[in-house]
Amino acid sequence: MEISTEQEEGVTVVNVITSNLDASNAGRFKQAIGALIQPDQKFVLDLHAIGFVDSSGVGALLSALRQASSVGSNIKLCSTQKPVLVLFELVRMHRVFEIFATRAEAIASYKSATESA
Amino acid sequence: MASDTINLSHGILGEIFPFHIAVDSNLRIRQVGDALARRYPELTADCDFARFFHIVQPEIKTTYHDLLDNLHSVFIIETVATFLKLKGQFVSDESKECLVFLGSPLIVDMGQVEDLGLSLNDFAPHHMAADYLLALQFRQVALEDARRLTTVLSQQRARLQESEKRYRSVVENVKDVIFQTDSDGMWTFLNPAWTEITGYSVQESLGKHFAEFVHPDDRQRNLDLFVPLIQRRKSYCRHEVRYLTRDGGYRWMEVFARLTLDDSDKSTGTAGTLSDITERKWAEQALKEREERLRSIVTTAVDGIIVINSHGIIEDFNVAAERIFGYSNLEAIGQNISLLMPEPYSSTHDLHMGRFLRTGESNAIGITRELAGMRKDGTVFPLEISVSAMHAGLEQRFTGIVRDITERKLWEHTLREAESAMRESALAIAQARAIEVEIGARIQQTLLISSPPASLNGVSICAKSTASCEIAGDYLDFVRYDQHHLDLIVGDVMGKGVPAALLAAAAKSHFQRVIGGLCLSLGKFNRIPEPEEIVSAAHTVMTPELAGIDSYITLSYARFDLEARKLTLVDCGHPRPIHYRAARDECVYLSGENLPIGFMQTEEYRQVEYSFSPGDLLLFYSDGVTESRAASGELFGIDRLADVLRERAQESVDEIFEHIQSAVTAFSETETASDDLTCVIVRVEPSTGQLIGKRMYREIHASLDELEAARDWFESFAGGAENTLLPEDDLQAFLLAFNEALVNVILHACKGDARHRIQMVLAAYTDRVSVSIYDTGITFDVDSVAEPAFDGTRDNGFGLFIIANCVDEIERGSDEFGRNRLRLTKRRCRLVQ
Repeated sequence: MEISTEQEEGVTVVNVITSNLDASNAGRFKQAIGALIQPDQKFVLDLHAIGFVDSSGVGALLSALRQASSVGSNIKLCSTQKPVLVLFELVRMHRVFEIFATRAEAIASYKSATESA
Repeated sequence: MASDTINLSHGILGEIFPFHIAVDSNLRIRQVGDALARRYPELTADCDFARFFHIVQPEIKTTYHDLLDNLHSVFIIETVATFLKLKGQFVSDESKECLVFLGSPLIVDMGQVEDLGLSLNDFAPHHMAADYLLALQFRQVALEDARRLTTVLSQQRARLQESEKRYRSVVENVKDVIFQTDSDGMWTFLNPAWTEITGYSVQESLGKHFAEFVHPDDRQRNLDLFVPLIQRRKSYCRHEVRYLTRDGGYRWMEVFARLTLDDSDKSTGTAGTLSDITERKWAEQALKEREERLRSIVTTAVDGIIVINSHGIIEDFNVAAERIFGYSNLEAIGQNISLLMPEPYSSTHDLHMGRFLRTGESNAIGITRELAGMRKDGTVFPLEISVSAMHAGLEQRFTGIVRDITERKLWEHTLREAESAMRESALAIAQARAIEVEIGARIQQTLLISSPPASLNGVSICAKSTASCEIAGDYLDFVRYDQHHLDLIVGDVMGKGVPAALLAAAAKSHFQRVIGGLCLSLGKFNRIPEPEEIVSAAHTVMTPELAGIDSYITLSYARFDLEARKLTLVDCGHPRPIHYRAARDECVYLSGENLPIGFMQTEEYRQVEYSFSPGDLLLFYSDGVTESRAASGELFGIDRLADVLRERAQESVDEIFEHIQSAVTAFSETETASDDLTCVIVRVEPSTGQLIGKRMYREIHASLDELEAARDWFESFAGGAENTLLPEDDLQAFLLAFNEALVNVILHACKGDARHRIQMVLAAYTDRVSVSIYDTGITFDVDSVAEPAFDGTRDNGFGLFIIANCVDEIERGSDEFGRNRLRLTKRRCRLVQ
């Protein structure tokens, strides 16, 4: 699993490069994201590489979101593959995370939120 | 005729008939009864009978021969001077060549007794007896009265006997006081009887005024009688007064006093007798009460009383009889009773009575009968009569109590007409009801109870409704969308009879119209309407209409998804369906929380989902099943129904229905159910698919590191892009479930210990794909896993939820080697389609 970040318009985009986010690597993923989270940051997790997520992966994502929220940061998701989206809907992840089709839409959502604020 | 001759001593004759008159062949009076003599002192021997008496009945001349010819007749004779009527009969005393009239005052109204200065004591005992017997026949006379009357009668008899004795001894011992007074009223002579009766000695009494010995209350009255005698305005007086006795009491005395004259025809005083009549007075006192009672009875009597003798001659005819028949008392008495009857009764009456007198046989005596009577004006009317025979006096008499029942007959007639009208209308109602039942049965057969669709794969259905004697509003409908989707509607309209049946038919067609409309509009979205959409739409149309007629419908709307093994239920206040789960051999009651349709306009209908497995049974029914009552009032209830279902789960759905029916019948102990028994039993048949030749095996270490490889193995089974096993979405869902199941086995059953081995078998059948995971770890306790939290507050708990939602069947168990086995099955019906 490879995790890299880049700054774009005040948003930290995290590239998660792995084919799966499952019980075998969810723990490592949780640690890696946890290390990235700083107060009052705007994160977008780009999941385009992930073809399979299981319940452990879901759990790790939820854990990261709670950690970010506790320090005033936010995490949005983008570029989910269809099988992953099917699971997310099954476990109502779409009601917890804001999920966008593309990275640009995700970044733009932060901007419009700021403007309207 | 021998029976008409008498030979009685004067004394006895006088006692029995105080009003008798004996006449010789010249109609000169030879003897009169005491009571008559008392009242008419001018009647002396040798008087001409015709001078004093007038014969009212029968209409004959007053000659000796005419009298002799009418010995059977009832005579009414009247005293010329005072109009006292006497009723009786002449009998001949051949030994003395005379005729004796034996009679008593004719009293129609008891009021006359007083008017005529008579007391009951004046009447002959036989007459009293007749009166009392009459009185007894009044229903108003209570038992108590009857007893008192009996007592009085026996007193009468005792008196009679005593009188006889007294008369015998009177010759030897004069018991009466013989007295004389001077013109001032002083005793001048008293015989020893005075002392015997009053206790005062003759010595001390002589020279005192008689009034001193008279009871103070009677004193003035006595003097008032004495004075005219002395003043010669009267020659005698006879009265009853109380004389004081020495011991402080008093005795009743009958005083007979006459004026005594000296040779120069000057009044010297009085002389006479005092007879002790105390006992008679006491008896009279008692009789007085009876008299009062009798008077009230007779005057209030509505029943006619007619007494006839053995010749059919009317002897007595009371006021009520006068009113009923229109004849006066005088007109009726002495006539033959046939006077009061129309033909043919009048002609045959004598025959019937004759037969009774000869043989004692009668169909009239002692019973109450309805007969026809004839009034004086010739009109015939219905009457009720009860006749009793009695031996009173010298011969047999019959007493008839007669009641005019004209009004009652009219009333009965009206009643009969009303009854027959009622019977007719009851018949009409029964016919109407029979027609209603027939119509209802036809409605039910043709409109309300649909048969399940044939050729459904994977289920067998028994849908039946046994009609009760009355048609209920139960209905059943099936809607089949495709090979896998079947809707079942079990409804029950409130109430019974044709109205309920029609409403049920209307509801049924409403639903079909709603479903048709929704399918049409949803067709472009390539989906069928959800049960809750259907019920809501039907509710919108129907509830205002139902509310308008104060009715409502309970129903279970159930959709079977035979592919997904899923039951979607909208429960609208209907009895809870029962789900028999074969895997656990248990029954679960399914329920929603919706209101019946027609209850509330604002109700929103929500569906709930249940999954079912092969071997499961689903039972839908009407309340007629669970609300059957035992004789004790106990309800059959859902638990008994569930027990039958569970016990008979292995039998066919039709057999299960039979068992339910007989269980309900046995419980309620009646042949016919009071309500319809409607049941739909659905059995989910076990999978019958054939293995389609694909089967794969793989073993891994119990390590999460093997997870990706296991998924790859799983996906390779479907054949990648060549996949024809499952649609892509289904395959993805199946993979998710497989992954979660495997993670659970590795982490929980094997505790992540890689030394454990896990075997996996994938197999494809015509109708399904299944994967089995075997492990040698501990048995996983499914129930210990918490429900998932969808709000992101918890990370775990989604695994089982994902499995349950991504496959059609989950089976946990163990194999013959003791390994845990978890089998997940995904149905592949859509591809077969």
